[in-house]
Amino acid sequence: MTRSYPSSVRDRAFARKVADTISAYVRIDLVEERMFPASTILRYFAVIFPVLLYYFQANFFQMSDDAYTLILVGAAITAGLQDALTALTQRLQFAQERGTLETYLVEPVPWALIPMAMNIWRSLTGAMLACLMVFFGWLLGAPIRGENLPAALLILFLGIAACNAIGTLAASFLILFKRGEPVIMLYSLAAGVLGGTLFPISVLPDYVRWASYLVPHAYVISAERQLLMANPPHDALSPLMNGVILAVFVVVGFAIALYLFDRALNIARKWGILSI
Amino acid sequence: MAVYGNNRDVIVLQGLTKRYDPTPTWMRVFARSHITEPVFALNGVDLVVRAGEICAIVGPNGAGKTSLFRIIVGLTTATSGSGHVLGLDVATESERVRQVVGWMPSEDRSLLMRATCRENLLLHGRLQGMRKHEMAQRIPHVLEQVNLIPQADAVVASLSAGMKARLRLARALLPGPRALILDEPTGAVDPIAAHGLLTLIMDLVAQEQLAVLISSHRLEEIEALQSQALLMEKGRVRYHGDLGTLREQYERPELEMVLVDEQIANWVMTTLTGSGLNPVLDGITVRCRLTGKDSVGEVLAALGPYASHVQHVREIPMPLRDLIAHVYQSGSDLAGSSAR
Repeated sequence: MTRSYPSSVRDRAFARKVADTISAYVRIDLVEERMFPASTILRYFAVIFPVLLYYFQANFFQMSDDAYTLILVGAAITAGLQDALTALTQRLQFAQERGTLETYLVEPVPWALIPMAMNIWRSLTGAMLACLMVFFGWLLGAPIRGENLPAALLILFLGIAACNAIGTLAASFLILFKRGEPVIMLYSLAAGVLGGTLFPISVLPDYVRWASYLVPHAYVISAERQLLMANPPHDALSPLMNGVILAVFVVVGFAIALYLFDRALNIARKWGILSI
Repeated sequence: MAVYGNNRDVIVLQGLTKRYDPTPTWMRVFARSHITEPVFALNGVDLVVRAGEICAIVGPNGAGKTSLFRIIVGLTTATSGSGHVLGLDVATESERVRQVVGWMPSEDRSLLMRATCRENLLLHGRLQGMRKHEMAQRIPHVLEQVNLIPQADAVVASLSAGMKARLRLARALLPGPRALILDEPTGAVDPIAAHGLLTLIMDLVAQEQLAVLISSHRLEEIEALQSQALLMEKGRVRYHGDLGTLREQYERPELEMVLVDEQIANWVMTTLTGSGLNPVLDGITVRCRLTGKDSVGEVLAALGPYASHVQHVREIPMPLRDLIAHVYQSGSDLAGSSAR
């Protein structure tokens, strides 16, 4: 095989580029999981401890099973969304500082696909962590309604996609300003409060609660509690409405985030700061 | 794909200029700017590299070599001027340009260290859009080209610096590029491995008719490549042409004469100084740099009766380092440096 390969510039369909890019990055993630097997196993094993923490806390305060389940579901969902929110900025920053980002950027794929592809595996493992937490909680006696699991998973994946959009926004920030954590750390801490991780958002005062409607966590946690708990707290929105809002959040959020990510990359190209 | 000029022209740069401006003041709240005033990294660079040709980019740090490479592969944009690879505009058709350009960055850390050689290539093959059966053929082929078949399934971290450099070259060759950009390919490699790598590159250029841009601080390597040279300084091209022509035009070899004794050596010193040369005395050895118009015979003839007291004479070619320093010291862009 000599210079005849490839004979000319090959045009790939966009769908093919998406598939190639996603499969390449998922493969990198799988290789990285294999590089550090103990780290991978411990990461899954570690989720048992927050569940135990909430279980013994509920026992000590003589909380009802419903209160324990409310906290368990909120904490599991927040933990599951955390990777979707933060993994991209961590990976981009690592790649930027390590020097691998440039080798990814010189490959012939649209740059806007890179954040999406980079996030997929960690988002999936985040979802698995959330499921494991709920499963351990159920083993410890939390009453979980199994019949709604498919709908709960659908809502969880919508929430993950919405958090990916926010993560991509933070990645745009990182490309230009070299640090994405301040934005994403502030957002993820605020999302814990505003999304109602340990309580229903109805306990928030009105002058704070409006902000809850700006974070996807609130919709995901609310819908999951209604779907998984036997006696969920009363909430203004049904799981279906939460799902619809999340879907709109995903579409609008990704459109804005990918546009801004592309703009940030182009500005960084112009200024020559893409990997500095 | 547009037809572009001579169909052997692969990389064509015209008036390429890159000015880096300081980031806006408001941005410095988030990150300190790395430049405080505008800097011209490239200033009107013209260059053509044809199929089967190697062009060595030479220059001190900050000369603009990396900026030139980054513009071609799309990692930064030019402020003005144009760049084309196989007729594809590097500014507007970057994604397609990246299909035909193989880039070998200078650092090993761009590799996935705990993955195997094959896994590293599989990742990039996928991003290049190669099908499974193509990768199954192409990966062993490029590993064979760089003599890494025995290490195909070895973890990269276990490889020597020379092997890692060859893996970076294999990665650049994987998509079957028409142009190669090699940014200090032998940076961390020992001289013997570096020689092997450069021989490999020269063979590949001849075999695959690649257009190659290479930068290196090791001038003996540049000379061994027998390539075109682009001497750059502060973003400007100071010389463009082949090194042979550069030598012919600017070579000022050193003449070394060993005399019979120190008294004769002193006489020779005086005579040569009187002839307008600038000799240096070291015991019974006299050395002087020939000017452009003097030949060895003329210098010996100028010694008159002392010529018979010369025990040994030899002409020492000017090291490439001194030749290039002479080009830089000349202060203006030299003949032979025009775009071809």
